[in-house]
Amino acid sequence: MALSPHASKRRRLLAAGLGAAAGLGGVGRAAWAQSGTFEQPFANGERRLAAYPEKRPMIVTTSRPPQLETPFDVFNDGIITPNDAFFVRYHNAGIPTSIDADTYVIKIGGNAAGKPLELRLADLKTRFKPVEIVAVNQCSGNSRGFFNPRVTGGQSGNGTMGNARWLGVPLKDVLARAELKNSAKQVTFDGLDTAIFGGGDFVKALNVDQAMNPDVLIAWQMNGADIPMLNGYPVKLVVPGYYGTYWVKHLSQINVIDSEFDGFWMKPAYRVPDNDCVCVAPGTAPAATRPIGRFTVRSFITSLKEGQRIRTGNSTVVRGIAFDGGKGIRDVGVSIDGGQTWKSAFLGEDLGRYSFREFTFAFTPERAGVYEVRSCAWNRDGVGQPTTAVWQPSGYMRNVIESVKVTAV
Amino acid sequence: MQKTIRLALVVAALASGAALSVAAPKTITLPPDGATLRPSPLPGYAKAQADCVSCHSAEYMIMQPPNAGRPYWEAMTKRMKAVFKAPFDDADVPAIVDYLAATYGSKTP
Repeated sequence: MALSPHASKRRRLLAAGLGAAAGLGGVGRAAWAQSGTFEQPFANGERRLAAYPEKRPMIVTTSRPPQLETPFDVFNDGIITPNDAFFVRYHNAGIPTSIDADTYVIKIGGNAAGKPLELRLADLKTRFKPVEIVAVNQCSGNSRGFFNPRVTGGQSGNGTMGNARWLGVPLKDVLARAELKNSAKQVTFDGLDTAIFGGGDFVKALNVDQAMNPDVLIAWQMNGADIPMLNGYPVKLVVPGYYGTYWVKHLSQINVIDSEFDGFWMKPAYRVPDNDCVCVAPGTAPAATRPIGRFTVRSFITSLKEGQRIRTGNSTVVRGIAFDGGKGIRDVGVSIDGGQTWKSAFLGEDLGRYSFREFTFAFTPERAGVYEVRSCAWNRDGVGQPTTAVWQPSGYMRNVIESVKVTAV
Repeated sequence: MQKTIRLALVVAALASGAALSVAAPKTITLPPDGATLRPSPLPGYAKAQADCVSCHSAEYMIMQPPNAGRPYWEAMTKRMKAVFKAPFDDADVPAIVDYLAATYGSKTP
C-alpha cells in the first residue's frame, strides 16, 4: 500500500488508456469513467470500463444485472481489496437499489427451525458477539475466459476475486436462537434480489455442518465500512474458503430445512464433477456432479505484466498473492525459467488462513532475453497447483500454475 | 450528578450504535446498459430485443466465446422460459435461436 491515493488513481487512469485525460484537470469522473475500454487476453475479450455506484471504474462483464471485474493492478496495491474495487456478481436483474437499514429484517424459519425468529439489523449488532475475519471471496467462474477449449457463461478474467476484512456475527449463534430440530439437514439463504418473472430466484444452501462452522458470518461491515450496495448492503453471508456463490447478498431469509434444497442455483447450476480431480476430459460431461465447495489453491504474480521489459543485471522485487480454501498457505515456489527450477518465495504478513498471503522474491535477470516467471503455492495440507489446467464444463475452479513472460534488455 | 447521567446516556447511545441512529435509506442509481445487440435482418433480432434484452443486458450474448454453437443458444433460450419464466411464446424460440446463433454463434456448427 505504498502508493498514495493520487498515484493509485493515476495508475488506474493509465490502465484505462486515459493517461492524457488525467493531465487535463477538470475532467469529470463520469466523463472518463464511461469511456474506457479493456481487452481481456482471450478471444472476444473486449470490455468497457465503467464506474457503478460506490465503485471506481471496473471491467464490465455485464451491465444489467451488473457483473464487474476488478482490474488486476488492484491486487498489486495491497492484500486487502478496497471496497470500491471489489468485484460484483449478480444473477437476476431485480436488484435492490434502496434499502433502509433501520427497518431491515432478517427472518429465520423453515420446517426444521424449532423457534422461528426475526432479527432487525440492530438486534444482530447488539445481541450477539461480533467477530472479524479476513477472507477471500472468489467467483466460482473466476478466470473462466482462459478455459481451453472455451466454455460458455460469464467470461471473466482473473479479477473476480477479492480479499476483505469482514465484521459480523457467527451464523451458528443466530441459528442457535432458532433451535434447530434433529431433522435439520440444510440451511437455505435468500437475499432481497429477485428474479424479474419469479422463476430462478437466487437461493443457496449449505449443509447444517457447513452452516454451523464458526467462521461462517452474517457480516455488516467490509474493511471497516458499510458493505457497498452492490456487494450486499446491509448484510451479507460470508462463507470463508468457499466460492462466492454461497456469499448471499442483502441476506433477508434463512430457512432451516429437513431436506436437500434443489433450487436452480444449487441444481443444476454451480455443480462440479464429483470425482477427485474435479475435472473431466475436455469437451465431455461428468457422470455425476456435486455442489461446488471450497477454493482450490491459487497464486498470482501481481507486479509483472505479460511482455514487460526489465533491465538486465538489476534486482527487482517481484510480488504476488496466494490463497486456498482455508488451510492457509505454507509455501510459495517461484521459477524464472518456466518451471524447470524453483525456489521458495518470502511470505508476507499472515492475516489468517482465509486471506490472500503476499509473497515476494528478488529477481535479477543475469542475461538479456525472455524469462518465464511462475509461482506455485502449497497449502498446509501440502496441496499445490497443477502444471496443466484441468477442465470442467462450467468453467469453475481454475487454478493452473500461472506464468508471465518478461524480457530483460 | 445530572452531568454524570447525561454522560451515561451518551455512553449508552454510543454503545448501542446503529440501534439509535436515524439514517436515511441508502439509495443508488444504476447506469444504463453499455451494449446493444448487433442489428440483423433476421426476424429474431426484433424478438431478441423485446424478449431477451428487456430482462438482461446484451453482453450476456455478446461476450460468449467464439465456439458457442447453436445448441448453446437453444439451451439458453429455452432455459429463460423454463427456469426464469420469461414471458415469450414458444413459437418465438426458433427465430431467437436463429438470430443468436447466426450473430454470436460458432460458424462451425
